Amino acid sequence: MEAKIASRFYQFRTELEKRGIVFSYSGILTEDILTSIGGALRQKMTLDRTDPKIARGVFSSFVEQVQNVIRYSAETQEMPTRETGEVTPPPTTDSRSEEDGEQDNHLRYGLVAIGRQPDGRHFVSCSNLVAASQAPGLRASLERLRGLDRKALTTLMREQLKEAPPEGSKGAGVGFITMAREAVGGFDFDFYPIPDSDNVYFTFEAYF
Amino acid sequence: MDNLIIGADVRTPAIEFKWADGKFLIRGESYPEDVRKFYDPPMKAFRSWAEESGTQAVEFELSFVYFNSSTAKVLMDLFEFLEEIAEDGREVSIAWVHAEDDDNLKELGEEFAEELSVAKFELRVMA
Repeated sequence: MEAKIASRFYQFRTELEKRGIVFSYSGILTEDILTSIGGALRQKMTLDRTDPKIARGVFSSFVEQVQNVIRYSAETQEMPTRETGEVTPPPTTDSRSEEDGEQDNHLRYGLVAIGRQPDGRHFVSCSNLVAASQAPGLRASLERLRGLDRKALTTLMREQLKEAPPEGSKGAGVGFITMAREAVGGFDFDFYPIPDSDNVYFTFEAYF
Repeated sequence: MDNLIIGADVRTPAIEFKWADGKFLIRGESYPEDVRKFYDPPMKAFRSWAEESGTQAVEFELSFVYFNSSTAKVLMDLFEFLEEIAEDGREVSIAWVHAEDDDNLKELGEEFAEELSVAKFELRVMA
């Protein structure tokens, strides 16, 4: 038995290596996980003597992507409330207000992968479910960002920061602008329709 | 009024607000779990102090290793407020300190400075 499990996981590991993945995490994403994986990621890049500029970009993209999942992933699991042990109903994507994401008691799922491509570029990717109804809007805003150069993105970022709701609320736009601006090798994204579901699988990948 | 001193942590910066000297410093990492919870108390204290301190000069030093996009919003609000009190006749200077090879943070500082016309702004390389 032991040999079988080991061989299965060895194949899994080999598959990750083939894709150049150095770090990956799939499951519930929390702020604590962000802290620890983020720390390990920085350590690894220091050990590898990664160019500090690249390392800063990779780390920044990692933080923005993970915080996006923690705030927006449509795949959630309710935590029991402390007093009664009862669970609260999951939020529907449409009814969730912009402000309550960090305070609500739902855990959100995502898949993070960080590595190097055959051409040597570093990548940081994050995948999670999003409501199919929100995909067209997200696609349109990301395509718009892709058409802008770094200077235009910096100016757009400042404009969005001025207009954004009060500090601490979830200005999603600024996170994507930040990533688009810093990803010196560009970025890519895609939506995969899931049969018989109101959600689609969304992947965003930034290159350095 | 006692100085407001907060020690740096893994994801949050050190904050030193020395009211009597008019010297204010935020230094380190900034990607807090809850930006509002971390920044609201010091920023509110700063705004109240500003209301009560007449035209005392303000020296603000911002020295970040890294900050995330939610922190950027806090900084934009801060720059707008600092410009406001400068327009009201107070001497305000902002020093933006960045690592020598960190073009990204330098650029962001310059972009924030676009909000300023009266308040003074200076880029400085981290020692």
